Amino acid sequence: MITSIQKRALHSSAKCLVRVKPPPLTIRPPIAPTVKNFEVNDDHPLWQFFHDKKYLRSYEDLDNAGRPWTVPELRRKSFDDLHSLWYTCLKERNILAREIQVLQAEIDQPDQQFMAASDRVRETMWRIRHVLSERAHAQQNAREVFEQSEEELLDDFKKYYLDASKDEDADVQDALKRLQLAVFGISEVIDENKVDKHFIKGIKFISNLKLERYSSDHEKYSELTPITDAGEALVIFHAEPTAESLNESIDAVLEMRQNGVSVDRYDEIETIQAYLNKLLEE
Amino acid sequence: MSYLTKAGERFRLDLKRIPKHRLPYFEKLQRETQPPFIRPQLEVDLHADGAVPEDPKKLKYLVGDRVLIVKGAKTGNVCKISRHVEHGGYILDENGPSTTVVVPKQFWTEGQRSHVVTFPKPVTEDQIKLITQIEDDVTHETKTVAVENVEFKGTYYDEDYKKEMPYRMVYGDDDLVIPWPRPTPKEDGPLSTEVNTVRERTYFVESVIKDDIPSDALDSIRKKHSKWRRGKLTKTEVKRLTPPEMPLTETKKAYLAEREAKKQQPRALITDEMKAFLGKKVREHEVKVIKQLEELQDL
Repeated sequence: MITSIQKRALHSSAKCLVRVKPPPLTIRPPIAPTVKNFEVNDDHPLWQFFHDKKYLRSYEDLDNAGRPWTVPELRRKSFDDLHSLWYTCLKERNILAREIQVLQAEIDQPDQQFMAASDRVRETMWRIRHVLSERAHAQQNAREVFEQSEEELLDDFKKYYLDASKDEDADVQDALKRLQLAVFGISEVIDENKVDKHFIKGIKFISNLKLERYSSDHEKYSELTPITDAGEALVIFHAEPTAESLNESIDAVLEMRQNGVSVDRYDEIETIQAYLNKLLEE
Repeated sequence: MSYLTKAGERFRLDLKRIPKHRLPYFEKLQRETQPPFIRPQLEVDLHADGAVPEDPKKLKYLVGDRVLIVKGAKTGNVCKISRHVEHGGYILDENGPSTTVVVPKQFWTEGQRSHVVTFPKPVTEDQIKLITQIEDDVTHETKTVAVENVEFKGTYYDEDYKKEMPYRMVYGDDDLVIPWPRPTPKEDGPLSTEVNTVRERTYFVESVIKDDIPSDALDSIRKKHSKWRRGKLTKTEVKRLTPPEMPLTETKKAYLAEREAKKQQPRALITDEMKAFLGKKVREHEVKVIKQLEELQDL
């Protein structure tokens, strides 16, 4: 308990705590509660909840002419397009939700015209989700069916590729590009590729196919094939589809074998991915 | 913000799902609670879907059609249809029937000066007949006639309506096609997308391995733990689907306890001696079998 003597002691804090008389009040003009008195940056993130920086739109400013996107229209759009559209819709719904909330304070119930506009946007949004889920299921089903018929399809392609004449070379190469993307997911653009078991299987298949078409009369052909090493497969996969280029790659592969350079089956994915990363850096 | 979600929509009062014998109560409720200026002018069937249909066949007459009033106070007047209202009503222009109601001050619109307001009164399909112009077979003059009834056959693509429309013709006379009125052109709204942008195809199936949808996005497209997913059962469902287990007999319990005790015992180690003994026994058996086979072959 603090005694009265302690209270009166000459503490330094007593000086600080001494009551100072406030300066006399000056009466300033009142600040009217209006929006004009606030300064908000143009890039303030909350502006995204306003249409054209308007507090409330009139009925004429609402989109009354439009209709929601239909499912067939959305089916033609890529994931990126649908993703953008989703966020456009979401922003519009946020704006409408804020406006409905503002109006609700006055008329005590959600405004019908604003609700109708919001419902139209909502319609597009569930359709986007519907289309995407439909697409995901279709892709899943296609993969299951493809697993059963993969061998047959590759055999057919092999027959077509090997039987084609020299005049059809360009067509054959185009078909090969489409096949490598369709079946093995190997894209022409390097940085779009992610090395996985399909990629490894693809480069092995394609390198054997190329060798058989262009270098089957090479003296070391029978000794070299089938290519099972991922490193060797990548060398041949990269070669141009001409006899000279492939013969050069065969020499490179033979040299690799002489030097004992090979990729272990268990490290294939990591090794090839590291090689691709290196290529990208260059 | 319950108005943002439609989750509770199916629990709301839906007059269409109310049994017929309960309807008079709701009709009375509506009569007593709705002031005259809100009350619908048409007779409303609470069980029927009163929404304005989109199908032109169901609408029969579209906005802009000229019609003749054949029933009611304004019989004989020729009007244009200005809009459709719920429960199959047509609102006509100023020549059509109207009604006056008293509107309280809090519902006054801008510029209103009197409590008494004249509203257009909707008419039903049987109160009007379509008016069209046809050519006389004999005099070859065009004359304006009211059509008793119309029918619809075949379809064509209408540029102005931007959809498939049925041909509308005089009932029983396929040659007399009555064209649909031209709609007032609509201007694009702020959210409209250009036709070419809508029609442009950006999704192509290129690969069976590579997905268009990133795998991380899949869970937000479809609920990961949705109970409607195949193979998802709740605890209650599992309990309900599992048959009760038969109580064990004393003998069975004793047997299970014995088996459990045996399992707990350490496994016997097989020594080389044991292996040699087993090997010997197996070989003896093999020799015996081979001998039997040879005897069988001799036979």
